[in-house]
Amino acid sequence: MKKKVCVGFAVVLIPIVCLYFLQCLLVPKYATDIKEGAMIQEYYSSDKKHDVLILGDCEVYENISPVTMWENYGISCYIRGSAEQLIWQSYYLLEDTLRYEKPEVVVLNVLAMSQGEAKSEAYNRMTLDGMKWSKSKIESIKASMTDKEDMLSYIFPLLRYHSRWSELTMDDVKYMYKTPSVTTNGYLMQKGVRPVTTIPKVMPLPDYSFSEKNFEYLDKICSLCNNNGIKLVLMKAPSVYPHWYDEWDSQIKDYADKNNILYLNTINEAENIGIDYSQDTFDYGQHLNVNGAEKLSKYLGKQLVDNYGLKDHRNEEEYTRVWNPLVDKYYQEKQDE
Amino acid sequence: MKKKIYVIACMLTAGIMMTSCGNSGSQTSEQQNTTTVASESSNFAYTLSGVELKIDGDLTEYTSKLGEPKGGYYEAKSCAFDGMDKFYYYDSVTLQGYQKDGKDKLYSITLMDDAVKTKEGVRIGDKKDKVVSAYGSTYTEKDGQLQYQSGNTIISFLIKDDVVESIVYSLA
Repeated sequence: MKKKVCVGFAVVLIPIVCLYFLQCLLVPKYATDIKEGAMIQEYYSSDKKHDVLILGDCEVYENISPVTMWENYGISCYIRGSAEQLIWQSYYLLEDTLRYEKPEVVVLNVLAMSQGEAKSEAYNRMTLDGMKWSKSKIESIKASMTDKEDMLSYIFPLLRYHSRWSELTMDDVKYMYKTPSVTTNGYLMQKGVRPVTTIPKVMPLPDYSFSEKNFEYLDKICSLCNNNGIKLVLMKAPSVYPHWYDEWDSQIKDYADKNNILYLNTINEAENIGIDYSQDTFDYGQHLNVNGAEKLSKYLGKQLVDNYGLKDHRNEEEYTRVWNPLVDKYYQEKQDE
Repeated sequence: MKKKIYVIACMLTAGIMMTSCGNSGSQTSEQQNTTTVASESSNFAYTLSGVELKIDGDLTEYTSKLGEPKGGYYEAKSCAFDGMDKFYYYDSVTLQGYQKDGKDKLYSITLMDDAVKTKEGVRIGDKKDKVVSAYGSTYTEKDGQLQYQSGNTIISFLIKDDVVESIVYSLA
C-alpha cells in the first residue's frame, strides 16, 4: 500500500517539477533586450516607502527620473510604468500597489486615455506577467485580454511560451530564477540624442472622444485615491509625437476641473521646463533622454512640493540608506558607454 | 519499479507539453503584432507626381521615385519593440510606411487638403453625395466615415456636416 502511494506521489510530482523548470527556462527574461517587460515585477523588490507613485506608459518610465526628484526635493518616488500601459492596467497596478504601501500622491500620465483597447498580446504580457498573483492581476488580465488570449496561458505561461525552444539564449539559463534590475525605481534610462528635425503633421481623427471604458477606469482611479486619502495628479508628458489633440486636452481639463484634480499638461510648458528638442530627446521628440528627463523631473518635483508640501527626506537615515545606492547605480549607468 | 515511475512521469510530462503545443501559435512576446494583410490586389490606387502608389507596395521604391518630401520626414518607433512607423510629407499628401519582413511597405496615404483629389475625382470639401456617386452606395459607416474596400485597401472619407473632411487610403 505504502509503495503504491509513493509511486502515485512520484508520478504526479515529477511532471510538476519538470514542467516548473521548463517554464522557468522558457518564459522571456527581458534582461538585456526589450527591458520594458521586466519593469513591473521589479517593484516588488523595492523598498516600499514612496511618497509618490507614477503610473502610465513609456511617457513616464522614459521621461521621469526618480533620482533627480530625490536629489532636488528629497521626494521618494517609484514609477510603475510599462509599454502601452492602458488606463485599466494603471488602475489595477494602483490597487496592487496599495496592498504594499500608501503613497501621498499618484501621478497618472493621460496619453493612454486615447487608447480605447488593448493593442496586442505582446504589450499585455509586459504589463501583466510581471504582476504578483492577486485579485487585481486577475481583473487586469480579464479587462486586457485580446480575442486570441486566454486566462489559462497567464496562469501557466508555459502554455504560451513552450515554442520558444528555438529562440533560447544564454540569458534564459542565466536568468532562469532571477532577472537583473533594469531600471532605477522604474526609470528606464535612455542616453542617445536624436533631435527633432521635422514636426510631424497632425492627422484628423474620425472621433476625438475618449472611450466610456477609459472614463470608467479614470473614475475608479479617482475614487480609489480619494478613499485612501491620496492626491491624484493627471499629467501629459512633453512630446511632439503622438500628437495630443486639443479635443483630448479639453476632455482632461474638464475632468480635472470637475473632480478638483491638478492637471499638468507639460507640452506647452516644455520651453519653461528647459526642454530643448535638439538635445533632450533620443527618438525625435517622442520621449526624453536622460538630460530631458532630469529637467522634467525638476519641474514635476517642484509642482508636487508646491501643491502638496511633500516632505524632504534627504536627512532621514531610513531614506538615505535606500536612496544612496540607487543614486550610485543611476550615475554609474549614466557614465557607462 | 523505479524505472516504471520515471517512464510514466516522463510520458505524462511529454503528454502535457504536446497538449499545450496545440494550444497556441509560435509567436513570442518579442514579436509585435503586425497588421493582418489581405494578399489580394486592390482597385484603389493613388497617383502622386506620376507615380502610382498601392497600399502595401514597396515604399522604398515609391519614395526614391518621388524624391525628397518637401514637408520633411518623420519616423516614430513603437514602444519597446523594433518596429518603426515612417511618415513622408509630400505636398498635400502624407505617406505612412510600416515594416514587414524587414522591408518598408506603404501603410496609408492621407490627402491633406483640397489641392489634390482621388482618381475618382473626390477631394476634401466635396459633399457626401459626390462620394456616393463616385464610389457607389456599397459602403460601411464607421465613426462618421464612409469606407469602401477593394482587396487589401480601404478608402475612408470622414464626413462632417455633409462635407468630406479627410480622405485616407489604408491597409485593410
